[in-house]
Amino acid sequence: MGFRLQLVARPGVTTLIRYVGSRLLQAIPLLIGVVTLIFVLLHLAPGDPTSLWFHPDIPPEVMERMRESMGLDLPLHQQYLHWLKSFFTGDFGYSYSHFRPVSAVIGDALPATLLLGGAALLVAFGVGSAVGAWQAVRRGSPTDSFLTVVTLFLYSMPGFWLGLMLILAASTWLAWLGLPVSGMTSVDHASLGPLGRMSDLAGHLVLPTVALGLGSAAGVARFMRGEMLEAIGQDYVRTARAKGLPEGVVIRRHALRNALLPMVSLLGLYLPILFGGAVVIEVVFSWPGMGRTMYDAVLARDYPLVMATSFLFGLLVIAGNLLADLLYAFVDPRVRYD
Amino acid sequence: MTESALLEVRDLAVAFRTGSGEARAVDGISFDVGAGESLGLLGESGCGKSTTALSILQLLPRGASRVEVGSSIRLEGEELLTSSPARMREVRGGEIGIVFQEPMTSLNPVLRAGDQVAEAVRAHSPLDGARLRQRVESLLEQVGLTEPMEVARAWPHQLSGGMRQRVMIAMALAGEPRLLIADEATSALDVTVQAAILDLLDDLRRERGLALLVITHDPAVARRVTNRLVVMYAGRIVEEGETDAVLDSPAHPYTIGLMQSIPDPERPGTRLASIPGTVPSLGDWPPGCRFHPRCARSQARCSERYPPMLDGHSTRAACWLLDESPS
Repeated sequence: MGFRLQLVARPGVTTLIRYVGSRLLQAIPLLIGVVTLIFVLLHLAPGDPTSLWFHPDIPPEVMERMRESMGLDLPLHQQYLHWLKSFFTGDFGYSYSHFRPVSAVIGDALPATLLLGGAALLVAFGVGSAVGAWQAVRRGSPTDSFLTVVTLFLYSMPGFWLGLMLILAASTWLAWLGLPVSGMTSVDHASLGPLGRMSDLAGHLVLPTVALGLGSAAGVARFMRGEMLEAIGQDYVRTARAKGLPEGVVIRRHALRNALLPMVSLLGLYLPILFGGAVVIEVVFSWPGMGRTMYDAVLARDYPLVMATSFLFGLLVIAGNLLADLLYAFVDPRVRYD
Repeated sequence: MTESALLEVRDLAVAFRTGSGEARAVDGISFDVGAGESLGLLGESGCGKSTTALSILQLLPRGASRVEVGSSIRLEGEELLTSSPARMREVRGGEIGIVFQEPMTSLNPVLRAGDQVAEAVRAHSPLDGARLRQRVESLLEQVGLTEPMEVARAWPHQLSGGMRQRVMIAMALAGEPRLLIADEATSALDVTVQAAILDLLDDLRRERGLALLVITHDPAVARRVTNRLVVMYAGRIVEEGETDAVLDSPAHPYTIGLMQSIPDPERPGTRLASIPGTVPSLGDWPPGCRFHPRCARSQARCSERYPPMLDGHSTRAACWLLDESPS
């Protein structure tokens, strides 16, 4: 609107750094807790990595040597301290099932998960906020009631079932759309040009993104509807109308802006839900990401890979929450770090 | 009335949807605000005075309330109740500005004060860039903010209550309205700040002929800034007249009771009188005169018929006591 004045005193850079620093320090015990829990759970489960290679022809002493080479013969607390030490030196070890360093396995899988998670997050918050805000503006209309039913249905729907139904639909009635239902790339991906590769990837992304994001979008929409209704009832919205502003401006600049603020905190809340959902959705759609890697690793008792993937999921969630809090302070002028 | 007033409200009735049907919060009230005049609307909370203010600008919550057929609100003869939404947008801020009670919640917390004033300017004129900025600063200066640049840059939460209310007034003045409605505009402020804001409103009226409609529950506020006063009780007007006449020699038992319940500095230590009973709740109005269950001087006909506005010795009041004819 052509009237922008320079920033009024915002929290200084040093306050910001101190705040981020203290939040990162708080994250350390949390991460240790995550790793410990996974370690305990893994060792409570029957079997160990060698049980998959069990074969009557392999003499027991050879099996024992294999266990020794992996350190599995050591007492549990020693194994645990060993894990902890290598984790915090950034050494994730060697994958028993991929026969590659864990870091290399994760290096391949992480981008796929970030892509899928990011796209699902966009769908969840983009579609969710828009639908919720739209419902609030037309509160009580038949469309509002209809969308309330639809969002409740989608919100209650398990993601894997939604994924399976999407695969079914895309392979039969919607086959003419040509949407790929499995994997991240086509067989001929390598032979495509840069644009072709992008659209190939985008096509593969559609269904898993919808399956992963739609349930969250419904949850976000329900939340947003409430926030928006509250914002519309605020005194400052009445003030905006009293100024003689057109209704569209009143809704967008005054109600919507304020209703979107709490959505930023919701962002941090939905990250674990999305990453958790990614494990299931990646298996359903054979998406080569962290979730499927972790799932396969658990089945293969691939201890180093399970530990590393769960650690990384924990890290992503913690980092996402920190980012959401920082973003909140950035968008809401009333928030100060302390 | 030969010459039409700036604002003419006639038989205004507003119904609210309640759990058991509809209830009239405002039930057939009429008053005028002349150009450059200051009219007060005095009454306790729940008497319908804010509903009246909001219905003039059609700012009542949609769906929950309804202005009834037969009501009329005219701005210089132009009927507002049947105006198009586009015309109402011009009227809001452009012809009639309004300042609300809560300066804390009436400003948008995520927009800078200057941007919110600029938005009000832009709603009624095509100013842009440096000229817009100048206009905003001049508006902030006019409402007595000595550092307009600083205030324009500030977020609402960084301003004091009095400063926020001045920003609200600057916003209400941005479209150069001829009438300013102050809906309990000073009720949430400290007494000293309240006095300063009332002086500002009074100055605006004297210097630029801005008409004022001051909605208040406080007789002291009414006395300070209004020429004429309308007293409301339970959705109806009970008394009207020159402000001093209404406050000093009221004719209606309700106004008399109201004035007796105010401590008098000249007579310290005397026990304050209070009106027995409580204000009837919305939609639960008693038949006849709505004040009669609480009135010490009520007669038989008070519970039967609502009294018309009758001439008292210096005011007009809706009370059968003023009726000379045999009942």
